[in-house]
Amino acid sequence: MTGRLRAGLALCVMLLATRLAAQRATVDFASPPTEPRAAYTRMTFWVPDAAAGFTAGSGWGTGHFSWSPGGSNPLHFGAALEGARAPAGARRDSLTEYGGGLLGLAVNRGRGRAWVAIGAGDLRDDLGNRLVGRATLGGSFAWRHLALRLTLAGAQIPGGTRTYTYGSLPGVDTLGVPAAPPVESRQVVPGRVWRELSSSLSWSQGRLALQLMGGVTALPGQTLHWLRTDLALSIRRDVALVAGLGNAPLPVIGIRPPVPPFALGLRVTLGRATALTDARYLHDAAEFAVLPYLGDVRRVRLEVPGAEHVELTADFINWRVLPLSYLGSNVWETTLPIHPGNHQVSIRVNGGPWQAPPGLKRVEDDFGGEAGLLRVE
Amino acid sequence: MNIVLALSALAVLMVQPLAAQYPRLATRASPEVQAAVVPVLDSARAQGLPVEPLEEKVLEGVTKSASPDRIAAAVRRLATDLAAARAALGDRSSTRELEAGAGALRGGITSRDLTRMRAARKDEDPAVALEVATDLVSQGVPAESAAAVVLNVVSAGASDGDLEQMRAAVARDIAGGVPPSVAAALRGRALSAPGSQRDASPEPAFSPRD
Repeated sequence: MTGRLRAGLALCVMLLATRLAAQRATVDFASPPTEPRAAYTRMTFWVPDAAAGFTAGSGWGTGHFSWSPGGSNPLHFGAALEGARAPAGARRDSLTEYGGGLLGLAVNRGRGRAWVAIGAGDLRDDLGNRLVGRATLGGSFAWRHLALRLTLAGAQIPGGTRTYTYGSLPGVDTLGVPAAPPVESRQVVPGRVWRELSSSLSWSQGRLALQLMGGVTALPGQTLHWLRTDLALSIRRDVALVAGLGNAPLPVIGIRPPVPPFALGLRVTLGRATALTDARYLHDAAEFAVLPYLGDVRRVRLEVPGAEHVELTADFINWRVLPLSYLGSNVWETTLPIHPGNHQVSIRVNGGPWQAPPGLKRVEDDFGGEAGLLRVE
Repeated sequence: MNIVLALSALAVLMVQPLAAQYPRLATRASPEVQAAVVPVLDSARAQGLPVEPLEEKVLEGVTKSASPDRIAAAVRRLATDLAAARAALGDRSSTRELEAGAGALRGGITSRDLTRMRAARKDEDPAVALEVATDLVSQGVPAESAAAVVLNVVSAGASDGDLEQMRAAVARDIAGGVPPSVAAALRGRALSAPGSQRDASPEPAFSPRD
């Protein structure tokens, strides 16, 4: 009952926050196939050049903040906080509580992105409190509807001493013979290094999104391999059928329920975002961004909340009508040649009137509509 | 009946040569639109003006489902601007220069300023300078100030790259809350000061996060 009450309150907070934040916040309430027993909420807010949000489930949560200097600067700075608490009945040697943070730096170049982050956290289990060091290094590359991501992560977990006590309590037994004093046994648990190499390949087009994930986790004395496929089929903009097949390792830092080999579920998104594509691949999305690609060929991305389809017309395509591809999270994209100079661009959302794209200076065109002014260097 | 057939044949014969003259329009513009704009295009061609920008204006109107009359009026206005730009920039101006000049005139920059920029650029292409001035106006810099800033910078020997850097810096300053005319004046002054154009910092004069 308490759990239901908590979930209801969380839902109310999400709805309220979504309304307050209008178009610039998204809220997911999901039970994804990778974590079917760990329903979580995810909220992300965007403001110019910065984003902040959190993901929280039963017994664990993460928060993140990222900031980019803006303009064409490829650097992005980020920070994350994470915390976890073991559920009741967890194994004796599992983590019981963890809280820590990460500081990171990412560089975007064309279709690629690379990042590095270091952090530390406080771990509490039956060995007591210990300081854990963490580092992660990764890269991603997006091409059309595909996105490839590779991550190498490591953690240094210090060892400790576990004490066992045997024997009865001090006193006198029924025969008047003093009982043997309790015996203490100490077990020295060495420190360990946790390493994981993981990769994922994502593909999304239209209503369908597919993600193939795999990795190797190395612990002292054992190596775990894992492979999993997730599929999402959008029924509406805010509802998707999700299915997963495969296995995934228990993360060493952070406590989550084990993942079953097969799961089927429903993903509901509140607000104006879709849950199909992971927003981490949309790092360079903006209201309207022209990104370098190859020479005069450039990638145009724009963010249009609530659109079913978006078309673009401009002088650099001889005012032909070009439908844009949907990337997810309200972001639409196309790649095309744009020569340097001043240009006029208009977009049409869901077959409506031609209008200036969000984020560009609006001017009246000669036909009673409006266009956006775009300067390409 | 015979008269109707004869008129139809005549109409077809009249449209065919037009389509041959402006093949881009033949495939995308309706006969009504072609009939409305071809006289304007012919007139511009006779004056030696580039017709490509005018054809593009027609295509924009077609894509935006404008009426033939409205498209013809827009093309006529652009032709007038191109002619004025050519008068200010000179007969040997390229199509891009004339388009940039027409855009600047539409933004409120005067013909006199266009002529000054042409003179300041000497034998070089003034298109980027004109485009940057137009862009500054679109960002809220008064046309008179935008023209003065660009003219000063160009006169000091700034390259196209310097102009682009200045434009981007002004945009960042404005995004950070600096009034457009102040941002343009500061950036322009930094670039036009003797010997300083190569040292102009790409960082904004005022950070929005200070």
